[in-house]
Amino acid sequence: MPRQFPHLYRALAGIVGASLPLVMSDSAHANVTLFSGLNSFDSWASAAGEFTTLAFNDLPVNTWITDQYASSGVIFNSGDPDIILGPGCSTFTLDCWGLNGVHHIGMDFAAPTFALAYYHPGKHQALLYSDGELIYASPALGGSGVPFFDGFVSTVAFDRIEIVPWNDPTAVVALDNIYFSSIPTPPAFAALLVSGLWPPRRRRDRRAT
Amino acid sequence: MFSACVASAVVASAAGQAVTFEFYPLRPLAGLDASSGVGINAKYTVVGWSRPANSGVRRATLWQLCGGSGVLGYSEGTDLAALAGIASNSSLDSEGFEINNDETAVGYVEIDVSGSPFRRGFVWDMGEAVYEDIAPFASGATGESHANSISDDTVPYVVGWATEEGDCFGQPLREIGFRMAWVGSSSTPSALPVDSTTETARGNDVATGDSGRTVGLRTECPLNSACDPSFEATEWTGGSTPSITSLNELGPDDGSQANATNDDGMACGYMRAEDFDCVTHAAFWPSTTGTVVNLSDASGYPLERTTEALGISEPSGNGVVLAVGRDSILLRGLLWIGSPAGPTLDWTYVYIDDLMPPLSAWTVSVAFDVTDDGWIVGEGGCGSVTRAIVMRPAPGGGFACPGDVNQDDDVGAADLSILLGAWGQDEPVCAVEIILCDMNMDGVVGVADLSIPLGEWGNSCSMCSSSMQSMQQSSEESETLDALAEALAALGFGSPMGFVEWGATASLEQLASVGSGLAAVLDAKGGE
Repeated sequence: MPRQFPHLYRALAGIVGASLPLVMSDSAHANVTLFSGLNSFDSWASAAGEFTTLAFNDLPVNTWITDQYASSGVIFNSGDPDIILGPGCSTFTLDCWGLNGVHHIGMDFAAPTFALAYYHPGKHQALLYSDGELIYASPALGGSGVPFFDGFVSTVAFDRIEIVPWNDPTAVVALDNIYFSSIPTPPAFAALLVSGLWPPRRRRDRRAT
Repeated sequence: MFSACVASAVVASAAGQAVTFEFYPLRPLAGLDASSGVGINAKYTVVGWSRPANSGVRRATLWQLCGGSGVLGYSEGTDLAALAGIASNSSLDSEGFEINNDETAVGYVEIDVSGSPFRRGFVWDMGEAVYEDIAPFASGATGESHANSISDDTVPYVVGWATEEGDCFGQPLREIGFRMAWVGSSSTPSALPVDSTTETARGNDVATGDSGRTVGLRTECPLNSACDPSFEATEWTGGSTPSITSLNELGPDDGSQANATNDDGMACGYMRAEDFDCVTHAAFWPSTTGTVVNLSDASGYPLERTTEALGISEPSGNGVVLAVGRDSILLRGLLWIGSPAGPTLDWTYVYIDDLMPPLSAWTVSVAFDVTDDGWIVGEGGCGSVTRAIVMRPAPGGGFACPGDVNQDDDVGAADLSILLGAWGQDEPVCAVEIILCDMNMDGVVGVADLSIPLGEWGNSCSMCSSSMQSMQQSSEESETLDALAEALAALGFGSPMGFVEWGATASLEQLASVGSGLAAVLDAKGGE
């Protein structure tokens, strides 16, 4: 997959140990680029850099997901069940396996995250948080049917995403593959360099699948 | 009879033949942007809600059928929230859920208690002009209730749920189903019985002519999500002291809920899937004691998807039963057709928006209710446009009021102006007026669409507009039609229909070019 600034990333890794909340305090001004549409994956991937993939095809059906993907840098913390669902090839068109979030999906990232994307059925809204503060609320994503692709690249890091039904609390949120990246976008990267806050506390380049 | 027509329509649609549902999007209340239809009665009056584009604050709304001579048309919405005393700029939420044939509607409105909203079940008795909320059971000002359903009995029953004081695993209030005979503001709700003080319950629907037989849900307190296997579809029968019957489940962990019942003793709702936790499948109960039918399984629907049935018709003369609902993951409305096969029903399903022409940009996300003759009410739209929709079995299909682009129930100059502005549009643009311009739903705004308002020119789709307005508008429209004929003549067409005939073989580029020319000539004439 295309990567952005991989060499610079490696060169700078481990130089600075300062914490990130100072950067995040400016997070209310997050500039988020939205990539929507089934042909948008490559564009998102180019902007995101190296990313981690969760395909949900590595655990048995009906597994209640909480910290099973902690080694990939994400904890599922929704407050209601997030269940592995499959095989269901007409719903999860990539590989027949996906995540049934019931009415809500919440994910906490171990490292500050700048980019995230997923394939999904149906229609919902994504909310990005940084240190408990809402930094971005998406418009309605997807629609009636399957499949849809939506991705975000943010100029400031977020550490949690919540995915909720669009104007319908009884609808079901489901996701196919999820992709996320902790590599800053160029504006955010420049800000980090200027403020001497690079790198993030923890680096991940491992893929779950 | 109509149910049989519906089944035929579905078969025809599956075979790629004619679509036989007419479609009517219901306008939101003035100043609001979105609407949804939740209940429909035998007079085809619809209740639901309207709301702003980017707000969850809904206003309960009622729409009455006002078409004449077989033409489908609906009035502007009646603001039920206003009748309940909610100011137009209020942030208090309300919804209409169901309406009986005497035009008495039920739902809820929020009340403000020290700055916090609390839901109260509400009855809008339109005939008696009585608008009354339903108090919770001794649970104080912050108690809540919902009125979910009303019957067509001479003295109608209203059912729903209300909070009462009682230990609900540390919570001071628990939900309990209620039923009451509606006799106006003096009506008193009675709690539907449960098996123990740790149970909570909801009355979801009430039958007519059966002493207030009610279906709904019982579960262990507190009321959790659909993943809870303790959900138990329940029927309450009998007059003053209803008895409890648990509807059939296939296994002990098959949590279920009954959402609707018909007067024949059938019910529908959902049941937990056997193979997937937290997935539910639409369910059908043929009777109180009958074996539950998994509608997803029986109709061949993908089992990994969550479905629920929300409304059910009476059996037609030849025994066909209709159930409506949705796929809650894909957000697509579903129609299940049960055709008699010996002592049971053979079930098939169809996406309701597949009953529209294949290139239509509209989708139907949920169907809430269905009449005995196959009219369906629910919610549809395109992109960010959300509309209550009514569909009825009818030859031809498509929009119920062809040519009425701006949905003012009349076909005339304003519609033509919008149509010309959208000329050549071949993408499903989700501005509602542009969607409506594609009147024949072939995916392109073009000459075939222009032929529709020309053919319908001056027609009124409803009898709602005053005769004075119609006369004035008719005069203006006649002038515009004359102007159109002159503009077409300037472009070398002998008559509007000659233009339509030419357009049938013209390319999209040619159509767009001539359409732009038409718009320019008409604009110039308008400025004279």
